[in-house]
Amino acid sequence: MPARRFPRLTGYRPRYADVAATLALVFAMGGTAYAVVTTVPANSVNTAAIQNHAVTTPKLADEAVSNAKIAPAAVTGGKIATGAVTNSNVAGNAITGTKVRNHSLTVADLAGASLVGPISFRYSAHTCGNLVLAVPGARVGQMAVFNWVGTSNPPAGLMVGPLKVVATGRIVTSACNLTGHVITGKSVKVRVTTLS
Amino acid sequence: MPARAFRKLSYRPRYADVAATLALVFAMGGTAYAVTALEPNSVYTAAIQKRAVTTPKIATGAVSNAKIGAGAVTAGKLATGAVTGSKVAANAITGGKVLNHSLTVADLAGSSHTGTISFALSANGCGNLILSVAGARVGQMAVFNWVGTSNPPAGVMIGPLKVVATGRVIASACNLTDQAISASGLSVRVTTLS
Repeated sequence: MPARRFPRLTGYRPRYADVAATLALVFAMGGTAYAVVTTVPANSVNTAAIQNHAVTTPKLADEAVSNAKIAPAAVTGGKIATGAVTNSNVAGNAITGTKVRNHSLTVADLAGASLVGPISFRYSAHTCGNLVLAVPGARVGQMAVFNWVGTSNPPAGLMVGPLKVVATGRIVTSACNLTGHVITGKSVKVRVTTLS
Repeated sequence: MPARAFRKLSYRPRYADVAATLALVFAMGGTAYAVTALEPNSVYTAAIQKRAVTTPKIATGAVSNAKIGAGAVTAGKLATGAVTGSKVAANAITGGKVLNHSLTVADLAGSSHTGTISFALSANGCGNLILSVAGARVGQMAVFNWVGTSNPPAGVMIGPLKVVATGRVIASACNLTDQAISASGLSVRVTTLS
């Protein structure tokens, strides 16, 4: 038997049809696995077809993630870039007292002027007079507060009345010496704060 | 050689040759027509073209927190007015976040009332100055100021204010001069802060 078969295999010359048919058989049976899919039909890629985490950032079109695509409350603090929330992003009256950290606001945050400087004065016994203060930034109509500044006691018997911003940068108040002797002060440090 | 080639070209295909060729063509080209739906999990990252995933391809609400990169939301991505009160954590706003000189009395809890007062104080006499200040509440800090461009009444001292009832502030006023002082329709401002 081997003697008969061997000569037949070696002497066989395949025809074109044999080769084509064999290739057709090969492609028909396994061709799909090797074939390159250059395009897929429109809307044929459904969710299940996409591997988990397959849609990476470069695959997203610019501006593709619109508002509706973001899940509610998905944007937490860590997702917001430092300094990203600017004035225009904050809704009007959004910042209430509870949003402000206690004891964090200073006079510098308030619209107004605050000046620490020295004043000099001389009041005779039982007399009153105007105390004129130059406070850059003070404006007519603002609330204004006068304080003595320093570690020593304030001048005893010297009363300072309510302040009045009479012109931009100019504040006048009435001061009275209630004692029976002259009161003088030189370069006494005071602070005047105004608030709009 | 040309004679042999001519003979090859003159080859007459048989039925089997034609059928096999057609079978081969359909077998190779049939793949493109056969894919009507992709196998689950068959689309991997490299198979997706860059920027191929456009807005309509993303399901509503699909972008969850974990899908957003840290710091990815920059200012331009936030809509105007998007940060409402409920979005701001308690105590998140510190002084450093507030623009200097931007807050006014209106931003502070309290009241501010500008109005006119009238009074008459005899020489070296004192009396209570009663002020109606809407919104003032007992226990608040209160500041009194004269308002206007003329000098304040010389010799009139106003003591510390006291909110004695809602909307009612009283201070002691003294005329420290030797002559009577009276005023009518004098503008003053009273500011209270909680």
